[in-house]
Amino acid sequence: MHRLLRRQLRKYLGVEDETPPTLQPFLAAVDAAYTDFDSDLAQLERSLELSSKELSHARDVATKAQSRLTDALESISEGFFLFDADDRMVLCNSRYRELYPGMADVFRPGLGFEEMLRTVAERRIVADAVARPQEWVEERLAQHRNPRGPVLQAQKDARWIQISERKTHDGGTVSVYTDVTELKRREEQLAAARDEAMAATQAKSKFLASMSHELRTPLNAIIGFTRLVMRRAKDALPDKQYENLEKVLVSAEHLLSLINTVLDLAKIEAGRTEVSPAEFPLEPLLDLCLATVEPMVKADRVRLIKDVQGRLPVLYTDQGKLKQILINLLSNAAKFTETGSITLRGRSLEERVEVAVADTGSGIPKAALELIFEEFSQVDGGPERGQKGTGLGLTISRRLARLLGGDITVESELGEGSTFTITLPVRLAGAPELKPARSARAPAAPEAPIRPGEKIVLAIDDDRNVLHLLRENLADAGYRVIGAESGEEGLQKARELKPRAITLDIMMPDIDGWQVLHTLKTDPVTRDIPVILLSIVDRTDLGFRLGAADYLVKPFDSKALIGAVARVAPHCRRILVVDDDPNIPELVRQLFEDEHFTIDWAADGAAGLEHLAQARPDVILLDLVMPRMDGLAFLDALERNPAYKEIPVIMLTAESLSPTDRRMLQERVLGLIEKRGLDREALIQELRRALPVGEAAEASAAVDAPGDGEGEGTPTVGLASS
Amino acid sequence: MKTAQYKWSQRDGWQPSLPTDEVERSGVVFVFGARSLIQAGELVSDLRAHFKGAAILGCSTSGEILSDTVVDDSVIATTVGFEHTPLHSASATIGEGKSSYAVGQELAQQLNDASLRHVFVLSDGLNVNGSDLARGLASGISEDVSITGGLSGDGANFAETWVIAGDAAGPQRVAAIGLYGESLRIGYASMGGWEPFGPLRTITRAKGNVLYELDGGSALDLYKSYLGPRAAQLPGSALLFPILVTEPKGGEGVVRTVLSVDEQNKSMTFAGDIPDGGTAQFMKTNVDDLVDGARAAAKSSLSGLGDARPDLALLVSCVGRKLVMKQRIEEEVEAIREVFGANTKIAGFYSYGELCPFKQGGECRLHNQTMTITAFAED
Repeated sequence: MHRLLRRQLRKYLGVEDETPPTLQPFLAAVDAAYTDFDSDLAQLERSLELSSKELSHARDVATKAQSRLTDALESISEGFFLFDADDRMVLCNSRYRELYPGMADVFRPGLGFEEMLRTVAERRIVADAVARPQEWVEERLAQHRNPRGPVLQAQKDARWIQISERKTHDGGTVSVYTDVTELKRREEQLAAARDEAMAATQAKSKFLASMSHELRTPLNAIIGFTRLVMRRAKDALPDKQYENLEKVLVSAEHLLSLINTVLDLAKIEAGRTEVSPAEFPLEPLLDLCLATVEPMVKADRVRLIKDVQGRLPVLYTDQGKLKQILINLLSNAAKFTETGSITLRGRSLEERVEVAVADTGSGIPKAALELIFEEFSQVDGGPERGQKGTGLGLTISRRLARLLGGDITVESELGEGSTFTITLPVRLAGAPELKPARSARAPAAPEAPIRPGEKIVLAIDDDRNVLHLLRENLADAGYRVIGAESGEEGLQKARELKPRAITLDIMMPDIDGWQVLHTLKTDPVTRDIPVILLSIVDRTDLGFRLGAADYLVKPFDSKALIGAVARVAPHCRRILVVDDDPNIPELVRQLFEDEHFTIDWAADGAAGLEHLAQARPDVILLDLVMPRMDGLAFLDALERNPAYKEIPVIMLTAESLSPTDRRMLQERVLGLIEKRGLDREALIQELRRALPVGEAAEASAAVDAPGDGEGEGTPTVGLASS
Repeated sequence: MKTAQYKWSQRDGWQPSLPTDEVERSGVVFVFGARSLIQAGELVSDLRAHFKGAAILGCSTSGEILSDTVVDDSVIATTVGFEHTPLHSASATIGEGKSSYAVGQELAQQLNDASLRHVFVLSDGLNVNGSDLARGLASGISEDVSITGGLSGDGANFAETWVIAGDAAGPQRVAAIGLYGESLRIGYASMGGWEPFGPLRTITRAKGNVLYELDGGSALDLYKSYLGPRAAQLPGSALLFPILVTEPKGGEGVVRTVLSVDEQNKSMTFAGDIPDGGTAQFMKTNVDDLVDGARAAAKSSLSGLGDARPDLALLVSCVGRKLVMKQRIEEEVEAIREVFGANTKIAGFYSYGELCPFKQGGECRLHNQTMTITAFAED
C-alpha cells in the first residue's frame, strides 16, 4: 500500500492494517492511483532529464558544427559575406573586414546590403563610386540581385577586388571577395614584358633586314666591279693578278650567299616566311631543277638521272619553296659526288608525294646523320669535299619542308652515297578542292592580266606540261608566256595579243601546226610575228619554207629556246633610271654596256619627265622615294600621258611594303624590287622581262653559287659574265 | 434504426438476457470483447444463435466501451437494425506473401457497388500494415465512399488478436461491412491530443513499418532509456511515447505507435509506415489533453451528419490512451456522451490502431493514439 494512503488511513480513520473488507476494492483503486501518479511523475522527470541532456548535446553538436564552419570561413584567404533573403547581413569573416578597413564600424548582423553600398559610396572606398555614387550603388545592386559573372572592383587605395556572388537555396546571397591586386599587377607586368619582347623581336627583324641590306649593297658593288675589272682588263692584267681577282670574286660571292642564307633562316625562325601555295604539276618542276643544277655536275664523271614512277600529281603547295629545297639537295649532291650518278626520283603516294635525291657521293657518317639538319653543322667529309657552305642549307630545307606540311629524311652509307627524301602532302592544308576532271592533266594556270610592256610569247601546244616548261624557262629570260592548247585557240590569241613571238607545236589534234603556221603567215595581222616551231618531228626545211623563224626539235635545250626567242623577238635599247642614288645608274650602265644600251639618268621624278620629253626610253627603272617628285607622282604623270603610259616601269622600293601596297603597285608597274633586298639577280631578272637579251638570259642558267641556294634558288649571277 | 446493447461479464452473464427474437431485416451485431472470451467461442455462438439473420462483425480488444463506461474482460454486443440501409459483409484472411494492400483490395472487390456509402473495417492488429490496408481498400472503391474502423487489440499483451466475421472467428483476419443507399448519414473524426517534445530526430534506418535507427543510434535503446523501469513492459509501455513521423519531403506528420519489438535485431515494428530519411519526434500528453481530444473528435464527427443526432456511435480508441489515463480512462467516453446526448447508443473498443480519414471526405489513413468516432444516423 502506498505510504501516503497508509498514513492517511492511520491519521484520519485510525486504522492500521485491518481495513474493513467493504472498503478494500476502493482502497486498492486509490492505492493504484497513488502509485501510478508517482510512477508517472518519475517517468515525466526522467523524460525531462533525458530530453534536456539530448537537447544540450544537440546544442553542443550544433555549436561545434558552427564553430567548425566559422573556422573554415575564417581560414580562407577570401573575404566571405552572407546575406539573407531580405538582403540583410548574416555574417562575414574577418578577411572581409580587412578588405574594407574603412567600414569596420558599420558591419553588424542585420545590416542591409543597400545601406552598406551607400556607406561604401559615401566614404569614397571604391574608385568607381567616387564620381557617380548613385549610379554605382544601383549597378552594384543590380549585379547583386542577379549575379552573373564575377565583378572586378577598383578600390580607391589602388587595390583590386574581385567579387563573386551566388544565390543560396533560401534566397540569400553568398559573396566571395578576392584581393586580385597582385594578380592584376602581374598581368600588367606580363603585358609590359610581352610588349617589350615584341618590340625586341621587331627590332631584331629590322636589324637583320637592314644589316643584310647594308652588307649586301657594298658586296654587290664589290662583286659587280670585280667582274667588270676582270672582263675589261683581262688582257691587261698579269695572270697572277687575274687569278687574285678571281679569288676575290669567289670569296665575295660566297660571303653574299652566306648572308642570304642566314637571312633566310632568320626569316623562317621569326615566322615571317609566308607560304604562297598554288597549283602546279610536279614533273616540269623536277625538270627545271635538274636543268638548273646541270652545270654544277661533273659532267664527264657524274650522270644526272630523272627517275619518275608513274604519273606525278599536280601539287597545291609553295612552288618556290619546293624548288629551293630541291635545288639545295641537288646542288649538295653535285658538290659531294665525284663519280657515279645523281638520281632525282619522284613518286606519288596516295595523299602525299615523295621526291628523293640519291647520290653516289661521299656519304655521311652514321653519327652525323642526326646532326646534319642542325644549324651550322656540316659534316667533314674529308679532303674531297673542297666546297664550302654555311651548313644552313639542310636546316633551311627541312624547315621549309615542314612549313609545307612535310619533312625531309636521310639515309646514307659512308662511301656509298646518300639519299635525301622529301615527303609532302599533295595538297597543303587548307587547299581548295581539286576538280577531279583536271587532276589527270596539268591544269591550265589562270592567266594573270597582261601588264604594259610585258614581252609576250604565245606558246601553242596541246601538252600542258610543255606549256608549263616554256612558261618557266622563258619567264627567267623575261618573257611572259601565254599558252594556247589548240591551234584554233592559238590563232585567236595571236590575233588578239599580237605577241612578240610564237612557239608552235606541230603534232596537235584538229588543226595541226602546219595549218596554224600557214594561217598565221597568210593573215596580215599576224604574218609579221616570228614563229618558232617546236616539234619532235624534224622537218626543218618545210618549216622554214612555210615562214618559220626558227625550228627546235624536242626535247629542246632551254638555252637554245631562250636564244631562239631572244633572236626573233625585237629588242629594246634605252633605259631611263630615275633614282637619286647615283650608284644605281652606274651599275646598270656597266651591266648593259656590252649590249649597246643607252642608259639615261634622272635624279628625281621631275628630271625624269624632262628626260622623257627628250628621248623615249624602252624601260624605266624608277625609285619610289625621291626628293622633289617621288616615284608615285612620276608614275601618275606617266599614266596621264598617252604617249608614255605604254613604257614598262620597274619600281625600286626603299622600304618593305605592306602586301596591299605591293599589290597596288604591281598593277601599275611591270616589276617591283625591294631596294633593301636589292639583289643584282632580281634587278637583272626584272630588266630582262622588259628587255629580253640573249646574253644576259643565258647567264641566268649559269650557276656558280655554292649549294646553299638562296631565295628562289636562283643562283648568284655574274654581271654580264661573258 | 433500431439498436440494443448486451453485456456479458463473468459475474452477471448477459445483461440484459439475449432476446429470442431476431434482429430486423437489415441487421448487424457489433461484438467487442476480451480475446480469451472470444477465443473460447461460446459467447459468439450464443450471439449467432440468437441473432440468426444478422451479420456479425467483431474483434478482440484492449478494453470495451459501453455507453459511457470502459470495461475489461467482458463481451459487448450491439445490435443494429437499419431501416433503409442495405448492408453486406466481407472478409479476408492474411496469408503468407499476401500484402496488406492486396487484402484491402480483396475486401473492396467484395463490397464495391455504385450505392456503397461507407465501409467499417476491423482488422487483425498485429500482422497487418494498417497504412497499406487502408490504401488497398480505398483503391478498389469510389473516392466518395468513406472508410473507418480499427485494428483489434489484445489487452496490453500484443500476442494475438482475433476478428469475428459472420460464422468465422480467428486471428489473421480482416472483416468489413459495407453500408449502402441514400438514407444513411455518416459522421467521423479522429483526434489525438498528443504534443511532440524533445529533439527532432532523423530516421536513419527503417524499412516499411520496421524502425531500426534514429540519428544513427538504435531506436530500441533510445526507447529503453526513456522508459527506464517501464522498459520491462515493452512493447506495451512504448505506447507512452508515440512518435510524430514526417516524410522526408515534409508535409503533415502522423502519429505512430509500436506494435512489437525484436531484441535480436534491435528493431521495432510500428502499426504503419516509418519513412526512411524522414523525421521522428517523441510525443507526450496528459489526461486533460486526451479528454479534450476525444471531445473535439465527437464534435467534429457531428458535422458529417448535418442536423441529425447520431443513433449510434462506434468508438475506436487507442490502447495507448488507456495506458496514460488508467483509472481515469472513462473521462474521455463521458466527454463524448456529453456531446452526443443520452439518445445515442455508444459502443466501441480500445485498439492497436484506428482507421479514419484525416478530415471529412479525405482519404482513409491509419492513426495511432487517437479517439476515432464513426457516427451513424438514418433518414
